[in-house]
Amino acid sequence: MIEITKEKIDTAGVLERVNSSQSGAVVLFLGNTREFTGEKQTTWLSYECYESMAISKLNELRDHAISNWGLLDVAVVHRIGRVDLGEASVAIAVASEHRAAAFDAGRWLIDTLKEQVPIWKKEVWSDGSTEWVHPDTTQS
Amino acid sequence: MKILLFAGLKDSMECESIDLDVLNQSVGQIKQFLIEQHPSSTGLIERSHVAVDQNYVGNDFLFEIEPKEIAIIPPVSGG
Repeated sequence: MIEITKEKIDTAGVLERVNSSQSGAVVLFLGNTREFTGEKQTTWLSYECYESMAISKLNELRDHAISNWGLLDVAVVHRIGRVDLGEASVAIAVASEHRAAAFDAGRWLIDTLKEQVPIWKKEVWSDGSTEWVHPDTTQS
Repeated sequence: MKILLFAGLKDSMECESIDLDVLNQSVGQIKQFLIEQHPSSTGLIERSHVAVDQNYVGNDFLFEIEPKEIAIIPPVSGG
């Protein structure tokens, strides 16, 4: 299951989508809106995406993770639009027979999503200013 | 043809897309042309990738035929 939604993510529902009698391990990762980045205070985040490519990239990542780690199932839901403090912008659920594969694949999925999938966040700071986040990958 | 822009690039170039003739041009040449047209967006354009029909391509990619979709992808920050 791959989905991009403007609605609040039903995180328990994402977990339920991958769960089965085969899955000895299910890992759920949530990426939430965090209030403080150092001294700076976030009021909310606003996300936009290049939807057709984001869906196609997320499907690629899902297929790769399933075949590489021999997973039972993967679900990724990313929210766009305004995401308030403490709410999830992304939910990734991974089901496998054993825990190591579920943890490793979940970590790879969020890391790779952040590097490759065309989705962008805009910080809305507490002073009212806004800032698109475009990480400088050439320096990392 | 229409080239899609997103996020900070859309804001700094003040439009959602631009029209360009891409035939027989490389991705690198198109990025250079955009920099000349929008010098205040130079840094972001240089750090952006380009997607052709929803796949990332390198600066050497040559447009021998017109694709369905081209997008400039500034550094992503999902998750």
